[in-house]
Amino acid sequence: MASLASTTRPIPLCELQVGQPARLHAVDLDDGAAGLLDALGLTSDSELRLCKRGEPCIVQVGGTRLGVSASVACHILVWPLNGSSI
Amino acid sequence: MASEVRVAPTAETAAWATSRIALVGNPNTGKTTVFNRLCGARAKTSNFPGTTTSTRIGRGRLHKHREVEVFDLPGLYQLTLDLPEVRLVRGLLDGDKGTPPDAILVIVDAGNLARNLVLVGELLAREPRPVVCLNMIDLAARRGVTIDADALARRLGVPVVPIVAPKGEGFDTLRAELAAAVGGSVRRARPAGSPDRNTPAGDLRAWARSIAADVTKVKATAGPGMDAVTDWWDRVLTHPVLGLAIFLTVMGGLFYGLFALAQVPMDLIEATFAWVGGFVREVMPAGAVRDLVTDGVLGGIAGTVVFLPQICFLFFLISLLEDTGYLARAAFVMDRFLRPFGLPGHAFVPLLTSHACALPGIMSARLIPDRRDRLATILVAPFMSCSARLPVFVLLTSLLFANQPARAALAFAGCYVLGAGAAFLTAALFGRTILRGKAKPIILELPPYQVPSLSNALYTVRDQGLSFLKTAGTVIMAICVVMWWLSAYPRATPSAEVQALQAQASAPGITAERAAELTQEAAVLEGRQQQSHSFAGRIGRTVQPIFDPLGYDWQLTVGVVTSFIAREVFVSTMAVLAGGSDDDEGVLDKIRVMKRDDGSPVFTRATAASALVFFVLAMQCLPTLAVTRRESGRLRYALLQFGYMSVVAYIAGLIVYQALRASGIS
Repeated sequence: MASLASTTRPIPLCELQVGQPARLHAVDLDDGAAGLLDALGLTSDSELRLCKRGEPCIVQVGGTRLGVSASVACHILVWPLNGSSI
Repeated sequence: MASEVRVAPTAETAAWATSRIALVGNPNTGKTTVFNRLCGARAKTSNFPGTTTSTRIGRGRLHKHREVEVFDLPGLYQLTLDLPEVRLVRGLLDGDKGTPPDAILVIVDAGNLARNLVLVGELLAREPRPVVCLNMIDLAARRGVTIDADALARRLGVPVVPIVAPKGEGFDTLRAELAAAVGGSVRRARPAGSPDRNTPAGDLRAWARSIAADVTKVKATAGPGMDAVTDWWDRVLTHPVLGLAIFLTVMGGLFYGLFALAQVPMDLIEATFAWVGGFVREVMPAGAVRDLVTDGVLGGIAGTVVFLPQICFLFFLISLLEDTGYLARAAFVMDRFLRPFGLPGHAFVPLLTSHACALPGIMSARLIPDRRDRLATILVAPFMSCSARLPVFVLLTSLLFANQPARAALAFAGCYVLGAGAAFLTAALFGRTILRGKAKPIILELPPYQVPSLSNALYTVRDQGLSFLKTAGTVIMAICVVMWWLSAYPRATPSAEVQALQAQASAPGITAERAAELTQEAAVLEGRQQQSHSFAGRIGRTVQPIFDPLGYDWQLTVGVVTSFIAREVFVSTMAVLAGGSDDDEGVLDKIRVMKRDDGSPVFTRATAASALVFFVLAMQCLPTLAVTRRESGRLRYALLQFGYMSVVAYIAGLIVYQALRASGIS
């Protein structure tokens, strides 16, 4: 099981290192975008792995691979995790 | 399966022929492949092709020669989302448009069980309860994921059938379970803790995660290797430079393949119609009926059906591309270019599909979550050069650059660039006026890379080909017959000039070769006088002053006016109007040699270029206007689309004609 990395606060998804697992903290987007991310599996406390940074930002959530604009990724806050549970 | 109770077949089974099965599932779960497997070649109809954004209906045979109707519904993530496609599915399941389905088949991606189970949980709270089909178990296994289907069935309280849809594995069991569900012969106890309609979203997700965790085994070593390969491809295909280069190569290859592959069957079709026309002319006695069959029906239909191969190949290639998973990546490549014009990356698929036909293109705009973005895409989609424009482009570019294939090809490609450019500039204009705002950032699921399904592509081709032929055999044929009648009546008396030529041809002492030339000359002159005297000629003359500044004579005006019903009618109309020319020539050649009343060519370089630009930009498709009205929810948007595109087309055609004339090109 991955453990929480030594960070004092959640960071934007767009600042996560490629390949590093993380846990979703919050989504600071409008209801439509937040609802869509939720339906796609990016739910609270879900674990994810950043596959690609930049434009677009690609994340793996379970068996789902999501592509989001960098501007969206910067409004998704995550807790970086140690290890590789994803 | 301890909780299963078998019930004796009832009178309901007698009604299987009219029983309905609804296919529901998340996007990218292989739903369309399951539909095609269930219905095979008997899929009755496809409302709209390409991305499944509407209901496709087919007939499937479960067993004992009993048939059921199968509905392929749009993909959706949750029934509670407030999106157009979700409302459509909810309405159908609730029986808003007729009776509800007799059975629901929910297709689940085995590699995404927890997420897919949220939708299953919502469906479990409804009646009839679904049959669950666990698809893509092979892909999941490659990621090291295996699912205990029996345990899942016990937890859900409904049948669960593992399948590999592209290979047809598991379909015997699936058909048997569906037969039982349709007949109402299987009832299972609802397990404790099953969600109901009042279960909060958070609890539903927790329930889905809990079940997924209980029935799934993951080999930790299997996944990363495959993920690394996918990561690499994703980085390459969405790279700002490499991704764009690949995109341009793929699109260039698509269009090159389209024309390279379609040429031979097009030639065959044209030769076949020419042979049939000649045969009919030989066996039928001369008169109005023969003229109707050869010039009206065969001539008009040939002008349309000749483009069937291009339409089939376009849908075939797009279907293959969509199956590979590339199109979703391409949407991100295009997002960088579309966003400055106020269009989201989501608009890429609708705009690409519009190159086949604006109808499915506009329909697939439903996948764009934001209303402003959706409206902008709908309004500009018809600018994309659809397959109905192909015949017109082929005709006019070949008239412009006869025996200059490289220039003709360049002009042809230019049509696509002009259409796309007009779409983007219009989106930018609307974004600063009637649809103020910026496009929403893109959020998109990236489906796994996979080998495309040949059978899916072939079914798409079959559906679209039949749909095109149906249009050609009904609307276009009717228009052709009407056009022939309008151009053939009232009959004109042969002029003195014609009679003189005929007399010369039959004069004693003249060589057979010279007699044939004079007869041909008389026939062409008589045909032109007949056209001029006909109803079509009179109508064309009445409207012609509007198009005179663009260089169009009355014949070209008739072609343009009739094509406002459907633009593909243009070539067939021109073919019918050109019917009096040499019968041994092909349709395109007949049109090429059309003459004005004064004997000058109908198509000069200036008029052909002007008409080409007009057709690239004009809104000439009644069904598209109807779909725009429906999808936008407002008649005014359809009227805006029609008025705006018509005005832009007219002004652009005028500028091209006048500029070429001013440059000495006529």
